[in-house]
Amino acid sequence: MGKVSRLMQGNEACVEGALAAGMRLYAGYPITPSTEIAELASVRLPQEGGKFIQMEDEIASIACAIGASVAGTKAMTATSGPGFSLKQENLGYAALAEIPLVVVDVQRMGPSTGMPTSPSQGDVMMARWGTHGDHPVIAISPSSVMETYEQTIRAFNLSEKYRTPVLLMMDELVGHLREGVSLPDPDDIEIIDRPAVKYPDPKRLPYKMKAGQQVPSMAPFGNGQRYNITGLIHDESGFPTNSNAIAKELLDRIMHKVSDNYADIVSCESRFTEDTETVVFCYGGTMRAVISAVEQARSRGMKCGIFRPVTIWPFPEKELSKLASDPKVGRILVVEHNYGQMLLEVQRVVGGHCRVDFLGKYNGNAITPREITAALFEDDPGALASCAYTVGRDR
Amino acid sequence: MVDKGDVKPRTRQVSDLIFKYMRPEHLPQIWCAGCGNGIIMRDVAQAIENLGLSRSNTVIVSGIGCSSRAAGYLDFNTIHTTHGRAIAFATGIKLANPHLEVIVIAGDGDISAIGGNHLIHAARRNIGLTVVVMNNNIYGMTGGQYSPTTPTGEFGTTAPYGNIDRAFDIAKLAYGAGASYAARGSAYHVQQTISLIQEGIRHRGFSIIDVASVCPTYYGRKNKKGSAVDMLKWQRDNAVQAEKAKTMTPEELKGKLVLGAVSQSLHPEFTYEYGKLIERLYEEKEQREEQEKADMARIGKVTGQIKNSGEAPVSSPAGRERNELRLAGSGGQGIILASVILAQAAVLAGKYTAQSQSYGPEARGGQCKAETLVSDTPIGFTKVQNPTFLMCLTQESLSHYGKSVGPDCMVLIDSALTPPENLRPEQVVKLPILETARTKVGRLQTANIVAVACINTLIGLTDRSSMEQAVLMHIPKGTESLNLKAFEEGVRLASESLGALKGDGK
Ligand SMILES: Cc1ncc(C[n+]2csc(CCOP(=O)(O)OP(=O)(O)O)c2C)c(N)n1
Repeated sequence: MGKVSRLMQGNEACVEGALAAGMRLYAGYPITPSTEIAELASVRLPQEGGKFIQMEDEIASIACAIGASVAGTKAMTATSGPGFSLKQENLGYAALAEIPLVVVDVQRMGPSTGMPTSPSQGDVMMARWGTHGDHPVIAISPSSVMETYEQTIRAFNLSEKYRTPVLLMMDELVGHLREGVSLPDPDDIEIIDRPAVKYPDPKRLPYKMKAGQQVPSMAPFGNGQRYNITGLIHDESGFPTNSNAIAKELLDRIMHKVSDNYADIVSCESRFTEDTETVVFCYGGTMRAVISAVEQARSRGMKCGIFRPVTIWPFPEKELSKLASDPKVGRILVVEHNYGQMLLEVQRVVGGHCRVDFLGKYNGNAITPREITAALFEDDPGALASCAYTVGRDR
Repeated sequence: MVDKGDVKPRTRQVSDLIFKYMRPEHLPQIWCAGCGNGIIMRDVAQAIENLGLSRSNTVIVSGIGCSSRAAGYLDFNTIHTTHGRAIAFATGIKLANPHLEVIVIAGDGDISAIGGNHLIHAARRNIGLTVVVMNNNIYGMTGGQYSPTTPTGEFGTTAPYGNIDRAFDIAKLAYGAGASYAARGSAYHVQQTISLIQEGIRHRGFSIIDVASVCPTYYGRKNKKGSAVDMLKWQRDNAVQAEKAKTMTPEELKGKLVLGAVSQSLHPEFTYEYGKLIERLYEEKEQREEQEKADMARIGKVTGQIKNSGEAPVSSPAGRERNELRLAGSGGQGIILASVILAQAAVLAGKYTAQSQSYGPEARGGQCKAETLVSDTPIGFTKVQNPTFLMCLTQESLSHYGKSVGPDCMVLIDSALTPPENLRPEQVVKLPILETARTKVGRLQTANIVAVACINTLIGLTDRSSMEQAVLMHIPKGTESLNLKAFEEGVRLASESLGALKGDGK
């Protein structure tokens, strides 16, 4: 952290990050705990020459944002669980039609209306599998206010670069948290724009790529291209096709444009992993309790460390599997605010290399460092009364 | 862009229209023999030709259904979206670039069932889209299920005993929702429909033209309407012009097809109004920035210095200090603001901070709790675990939160309150916070500022000028002197009690 200049709330950092990244349209529908994003966007966007619109529901909100992106404007929509459920169909549309877009989900406790103001990380699998069909996913989960600012910018950059919707999976813990942040000089912020079409293409093949290109260039509506966009499986011309060969080719390409660029997209953080025997796996706002718990555990002599995906999708499986195959590491404790979602992914990647334990909380309260140390030392079962703690493959 | 001249339909050779406005490589179209949709698509092309719209500046948006195939055949910027959502996509396109002429082509189910919500809200908002409905009274694409425009008693594959639902009149529905232009055309009445679409496009605001199509394959067959020609003849023989319809009774209008403009009025268009807002804010920009600077300067003058970029502390184990403050009271006492001000001061003083509060029912009227962590080292867990300081302004919150504090936690309470028995007398500081705000400052609402000053004086969270500046950054303009007075009173209250404490000790 350099200069501290502002006290900022997580939801506010999301809006300021989006503006810095070039967002000029926000479409949304209010829902706790994401509402401050809409409120602030309504204040800030018109000041920057951009536009805010409160749509009639979350389906309309994402549709409106996609429309704006098609017209060449960087767009965002934000919501929470119930609204994220509603957005799923059009999320798939943006993935298949390759429309850049940022969708924010400030997670709250579900299912259904659940506990609207309570922290949760219950939507991380919906982020991966919520829309129907196979599709690439990039999802980022920040753990501090500053990181929310930075990762919102990164979400826009990745969505533009790869022409795909990017999900910012926040949680109530970070969305409603106020911290000091030091915003970078606008000139120091890297901004990536979608690969642009400079001249109208006489052949009119909007999804055709030059050799070596994995992401087609994109022309905004109105620049003279007159092409077609559809949510049907399409060929290079952007028109529907029933060719099975082209269908496979298209799906392969959109999946590969993300998976082949793993190194560019995936980001994760490791702490104290040089000497670690026990790794705590966490992401998003849960990280904060884990930091405190691991610091305490280390001061009590336990050799433990932290592994945290920043991009939860694609899952940082290379890094995790490397860590799990380190002979020193005998145990991974997965800590999350749900019934065991990312646990499945950790179990898959670790594949029996070491013990995988689980500490989950889904009663509407934040996991505390004490609960985590109790699970780490397995010495204070009473402290775990409001959590689910399971060892190995117990579940 | 748009020809503002008289609307004079000039029907060209269909082949001219095809080569100019359609994509011959994607023709012939796949609509069934006798389907009315092709006629309506051509009406749209003719209206565009008559108005002289630029192809590059025109966008066709469709949903999903038989109707939505039109987006693929028409040679403009075309987008085939998801079922029912065309208007919402179109709203984003129009808002992002109001210079584009955005036309939605939709089916009756698409626009009034799954997309009904978007229809009424776009109409209400009066955003400058033109919607052309290919209304065939049936779900065509999925094979003949009844739709919101299937008349009562008629049949569909999901209305095998006759439809019990009542039907929507889409033009009237849109009118009721505030559409500033709503009209009805038909596949048979080509010239009139072209005029109506032209008027709709030229109209500034939301316009909808509900065009009766014919679906001999499903609707016609299920309901024994005869051939496509019979269905078109029915339109010819049962059409009533809107003007004439006004003079007819509901009985007389039963089973008739009312054609023409159902409503036409002028209201501000959404994207135009938004453009005006942006212009206004742009003009005020300099003023706004200057105001911000002046505000900061004033705050600096009052507090003796301006702090807005304190260096973050390097974590030094030696100076490890961590304060966990919990403030509680009832909604309306400004507890959250006090907590935010403490965090703001910490930032100004170059410390790490984390501030959060409980939301929900607790935040409205009932109990209210906010937490501020202040530390010389980075903060992990962002919630209070072992409060080092608790302030309660109501008995209820004191009973609730007072129970769980440790013996080292300082507890500041309003003088009117009685501390619970678990607290040691030495850890409790009683100050007349509310009374001071009411009588000495003259405004009960300043109690939170009195409290902030008390807290900082008692535990020295930050230097005084950081705290004063934080106060000034978060209070309404025009209340500076009142709040600084409250701050001063708070400092005095707490200093006196500290003095008393010290005196006792000696
Ligand atoms: C979310 C969703 N639900 C259902 C469908 C299936 N579906 C496709 S078109 C259609 C109805 C089309 O009827 P209408 O809008 O009247 O248009 P038409 O085909 O008659 O032109 C339905 C139900 C879908 N594509 N998406």
